[in-house]
Amino acid sequence: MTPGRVAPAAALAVAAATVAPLAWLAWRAAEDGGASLRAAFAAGRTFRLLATTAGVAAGALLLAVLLAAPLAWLVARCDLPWRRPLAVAAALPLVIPSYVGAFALVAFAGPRGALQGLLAPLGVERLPAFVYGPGGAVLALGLFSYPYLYLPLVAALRALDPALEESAALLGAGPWRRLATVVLPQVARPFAAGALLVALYALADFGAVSITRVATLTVSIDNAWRSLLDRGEAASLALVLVALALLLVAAEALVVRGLPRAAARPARPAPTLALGRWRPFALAYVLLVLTLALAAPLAVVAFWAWRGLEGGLALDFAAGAAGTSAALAVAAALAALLAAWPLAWWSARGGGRLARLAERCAWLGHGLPGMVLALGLVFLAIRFAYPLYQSLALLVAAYALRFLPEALGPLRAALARLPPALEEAARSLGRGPASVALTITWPLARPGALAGAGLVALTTLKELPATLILRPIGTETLATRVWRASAEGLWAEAALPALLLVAIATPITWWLALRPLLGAAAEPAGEGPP
Amino acid sequence: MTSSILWRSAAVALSLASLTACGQKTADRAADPAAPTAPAAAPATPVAAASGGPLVVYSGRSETLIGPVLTQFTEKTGIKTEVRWGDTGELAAALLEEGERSPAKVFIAQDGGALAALAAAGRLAELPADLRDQVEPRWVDPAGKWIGTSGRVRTLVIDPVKVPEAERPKSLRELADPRWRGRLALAPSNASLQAHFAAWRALHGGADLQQLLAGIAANEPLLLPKNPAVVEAVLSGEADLGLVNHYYLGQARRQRGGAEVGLNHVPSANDGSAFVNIAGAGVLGQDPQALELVRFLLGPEAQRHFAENTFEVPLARDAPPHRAGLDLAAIAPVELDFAKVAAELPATVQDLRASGLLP
Repeated sequence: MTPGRVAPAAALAVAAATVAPLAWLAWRAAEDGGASLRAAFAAGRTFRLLATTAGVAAGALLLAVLLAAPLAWLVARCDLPWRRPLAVAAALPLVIPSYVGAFALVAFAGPRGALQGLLAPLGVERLPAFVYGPGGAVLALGLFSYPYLYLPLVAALRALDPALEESAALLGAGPWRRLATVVLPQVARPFAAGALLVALYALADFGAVSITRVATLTVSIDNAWRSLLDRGEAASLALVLVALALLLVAAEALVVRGLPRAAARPARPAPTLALGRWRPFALAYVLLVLTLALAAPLAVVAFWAWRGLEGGLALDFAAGAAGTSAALAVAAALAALLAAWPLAWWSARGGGRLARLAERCAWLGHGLPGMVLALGLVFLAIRFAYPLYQSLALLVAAYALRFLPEALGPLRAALARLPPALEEAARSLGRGPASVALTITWPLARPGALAGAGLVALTTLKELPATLILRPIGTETLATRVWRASAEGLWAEAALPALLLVAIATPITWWLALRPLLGAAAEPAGEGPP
Repeated sequence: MTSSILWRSAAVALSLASLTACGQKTADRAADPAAPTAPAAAPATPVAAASGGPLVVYSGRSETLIGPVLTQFTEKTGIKTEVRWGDTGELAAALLEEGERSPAKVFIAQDGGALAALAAAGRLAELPADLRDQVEPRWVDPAGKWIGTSGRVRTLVIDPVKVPEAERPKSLRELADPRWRGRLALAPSNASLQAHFAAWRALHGGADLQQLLAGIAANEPLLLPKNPAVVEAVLSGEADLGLVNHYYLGQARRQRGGAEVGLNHVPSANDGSAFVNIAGAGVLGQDPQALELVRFLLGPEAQRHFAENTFEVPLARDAPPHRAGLDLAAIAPVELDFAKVAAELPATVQDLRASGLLP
């Protein structure tokens, strides 16, 4: 089917919206005639920051791959006990704000953390301060960003055509050979998209790196902006970060270009692999990851809550903030999906170079620190969309722009797997483009699309910098509640909204992202607790 | 399939509707406390009736610290406020990006540097002379664009056991002494810390500050993101002393059920080691209600709140005695205009970076 005119126009409009904050950044950086820009690109300090930032992002990506790939495989294709609850739990670390997660890590494994307390009877008075430094940052970022890879991988693995694997088996290929030559090439595209998300997230993160005391570009940008002394310098450093993100986006495009497109969605679900005697080990692995990435930070947060209650703190259930957070998350997920659709579809249906460029532009916002993007939107909105300024609509639009790639990656992979012939056949039988999109494309792309929307919802729940700056006055989300309390060192009062974040994320993860993958499909035999 | 799409969009529409309802509710609630008292507070100043719509305030000071004062303000004057709560630096950055069309009428900051930066960018209007006269000139912008409303004392929070009385530093200079190697914690990105070193720079010059910072950096201090983390580090034994604002210790003690942990120590040397940063306010545009709020922040109710509830130092001339447990006369013996401090900030940040303390 040819792209027509509506999709390209919509795609270009979305791409323009994502690039606009970058244009503002370039303008701010060049305000002083380019002096600070030249200084930023020439300074040795900038290169040290750049090297640290790239190193931390690479480490976080490696850790995320090691965590996400086995988890996704076990959840999507194996007879893991308690599969569905574990599948949901494995996506939840994404809602733990990185500063909460990193703080929990330090509280647990810091020189005088809980671990040292456990070892104290053995004469250990102080643990080496490994949590402070790039190692700690990699740990915190990898543990809380691996779901960016995990969810798309689960979606891709569930959508594989079992016929290919069966043919390979009939031809004598063993399980490892089938994995390497049949399965992996088919999931390589969603894998690359997820990896890009993790890397961009690590580039833009501020919370984890500042708590683990690593000097990255974001920390430096934040310092420069906050002290307001030299906006040119702050903007220039942010552009260095954009350049790094651009490099990653281009690299992913190069890698993906050579990869085969997976086949269309199969008529029947893939068979479930019996783990046999490996079952307890597989379960132990999943539980270990969940302990580190979910249970441990929640335990630390619960400890704060308990200490606060003991100290006579009144429980405030933050119900209003919880409702606002949930509604904003769902709205942002939908908005991101709507914005991603024309970009992904145009690019997947032979839109050519311009389509690919537009789609690539949309990824850059993910590599920008939230505060930078928010300030850019303040500047643009107050001048060009004043009636929308500080409205919920603009806030949702900001979320959608910032997290667009999270919806775009899985959607692009899903659409790429659909043979255009299906849509063409429907069109030749007299269906209109909208009808084809709703009855053919959407149902087939749905698991991937909803997995992406689920990612957007989860990330929106914890989003803070843009929320603080762009929310209508008086609007409170759970993330702003956590921020308000923790900014004053009131850890106990920060604890309850943090726990509520996870409570809200659970149903969203299930309904939006995982139910279409794990729930609706016919359950294979042998499912259930051991 | 289609039905599930419909179901989903219906769910979203519903949640959006409830969201707007939520927003409405909070707005109503915010307005509520004022409603019954407005008629009672009869002599609501003439300006109160002048313009419609609530007074939009951007506050870099937290709701717990200043929320009660704003409620009192509304009760007394009948002027309703709408407050955007945030971080001082971020709100100031947002105000700069908003430019002339900003909805904000008053900016309340917990750091003089942010106010000075906004004044330098031409965003703050001049305050009337009678208002400026309410505090000592050194807490007021010489051009009259902003005014200090309360002070916060820079102190060393110490572990009194590990740092016995004889060893406690008498001057900031001693922090460069090798005996503090690995024992000091500080938050170099904190605005108050930067203001403190900027004051040092104003008194002693750039070379002196650079030498001091080099000495501190050589002691490999614990570099933390925020003041509360510095206090936590001292109380948990990770560090022996930390450079912070005085009231964080009070908060940490409250978190521990009022336990008398840690100690605020103010160096006694008369060389700028002791320093008071300000929290203050400025107005944007020419709204009489905005001036009314700044006047209220310097009035007896607000100043008593700062003195008794937030453990700060009230700055109005006729303010009640504070409960910071510190003698202000002894603490800030060096006469220093805060504007001079603000002017030294850019160079100070560069020095902090060059020393490696600030990334």
